[in-house]
Amino acid sequence: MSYLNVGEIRKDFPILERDVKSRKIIYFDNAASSLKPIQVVEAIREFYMYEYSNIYRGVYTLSQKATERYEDAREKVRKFINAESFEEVIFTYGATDSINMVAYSYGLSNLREGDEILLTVMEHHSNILPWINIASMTGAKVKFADITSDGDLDYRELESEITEKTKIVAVTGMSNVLGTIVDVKSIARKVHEMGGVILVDGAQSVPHMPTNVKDLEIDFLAFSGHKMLGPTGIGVLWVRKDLLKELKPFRYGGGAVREVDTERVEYLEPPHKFEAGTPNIVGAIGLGVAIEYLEKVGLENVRKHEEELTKYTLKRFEEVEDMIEVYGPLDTSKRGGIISFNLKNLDSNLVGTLLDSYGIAVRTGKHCAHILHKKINQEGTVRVSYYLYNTFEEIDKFISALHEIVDIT
Amino acid sequence: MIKEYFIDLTEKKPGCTENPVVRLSQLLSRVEEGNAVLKVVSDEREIPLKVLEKLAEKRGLKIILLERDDTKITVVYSKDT
Repeated sequence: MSYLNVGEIRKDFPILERDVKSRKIIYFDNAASSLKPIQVVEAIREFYMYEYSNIYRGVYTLSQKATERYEDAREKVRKFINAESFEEVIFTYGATDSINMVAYSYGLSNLREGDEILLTVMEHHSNILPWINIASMTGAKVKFADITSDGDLDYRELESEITEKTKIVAVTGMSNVLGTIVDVKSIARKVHEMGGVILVDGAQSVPHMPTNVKDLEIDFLAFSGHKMLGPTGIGVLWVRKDLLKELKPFRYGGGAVREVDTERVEYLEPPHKFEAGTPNIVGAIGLGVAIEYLEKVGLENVRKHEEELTKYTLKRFEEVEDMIEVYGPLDTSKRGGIISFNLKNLDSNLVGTLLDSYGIAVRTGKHCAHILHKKINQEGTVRVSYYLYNTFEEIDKFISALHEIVDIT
Repeated sequence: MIKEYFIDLTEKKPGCTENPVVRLSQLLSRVEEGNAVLKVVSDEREIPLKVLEKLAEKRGLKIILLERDDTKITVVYSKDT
């Protein structure tokens, strides 16, 4: 069953026409970064060529128009995640930047010695290291909730770890290694009962499935533009409105203040209070166009398409089941389009190098998730990660390549 | 001028970017361009000769087995002209 017109979608991605090793590229590394549709590229090009100016500061037409374009992009983000108001949508430089912002803007002033920050062993380093650092600065303690043997989050264990001491819970919306989709709504409820706040690292989930921050009942959401068809260098931190007053700015400078004199500083209101310096104007505009593209295609359709690709891949993996080890839930309703695996007796980097010889781009290694790889007892894994332009035919070529690789070992 | 590169795949290095296999891929690309030859030392228990040969085949390169010492093998990649 086809949820997307993938043939038409692929025409929007010129890079898919290029050859690698005399073959059309098969791009299976979307968890690292997604390809960009011509619409996003053209919008950025047009803006730079005909509309560019710095924003907010100018009284001239070009600056005012540029400001409108930037704020329009913010409004598109707001609608995309169903945030209540534009104040809640802060542009950052990416999900890593967003998470650091929460750690320093909120964590530094709200954590005391003995408080606890709860993470999971599935987290990407960008959702571990800021917390470890903040904990060392405040005397708080970082704890990790475990996964089950089939790669799902151990919800019972996680919930048992949430106590009155738990001030911040930071979890991924979707594991960048296992593909595990986390039920953040159920976690949020428990966190709030105990008086804590919850941050969701949406770097892998927001690009691939509908996100409704009101429905999820979470407090912070971080995601990156470049993983959802947008340019690099732009991301979003969504903050629940009533928490905004508890955040101190993380970055100080021009553009975030109403007035400064030698004894007093008056800051602007959110979100501008948190966007000091010239922002990534063109990045925000590009992200806005990316969101329009995804909304036209439909995030629900993207999710269903990826679920079918994942189901198909796992089925075809059975052809080499004696030689392959797959990580993460086998139930595709519990995982996104990310599959990490290993071929027995072969280093993951070597498998990736071999696959490159077939024109297939995968990611290898530990994917910035060392704790998780220690947990699954692997030095590294091969990761395929899908998006709306990937096809079943590409998976057939991938499986055929795997067969050839298995045959020679 | 043809440059000569050497890589020892038996050397274990920590970190993702310092992994010798990652370096292998980069250097094979240089050989493909025709600017280089690459000598590789490997342990057949971890990376069979057939795998190294498959890499050569897929990239249109020539591979010669220079030396075998128990499980340790030394091969040379060059452009197949």
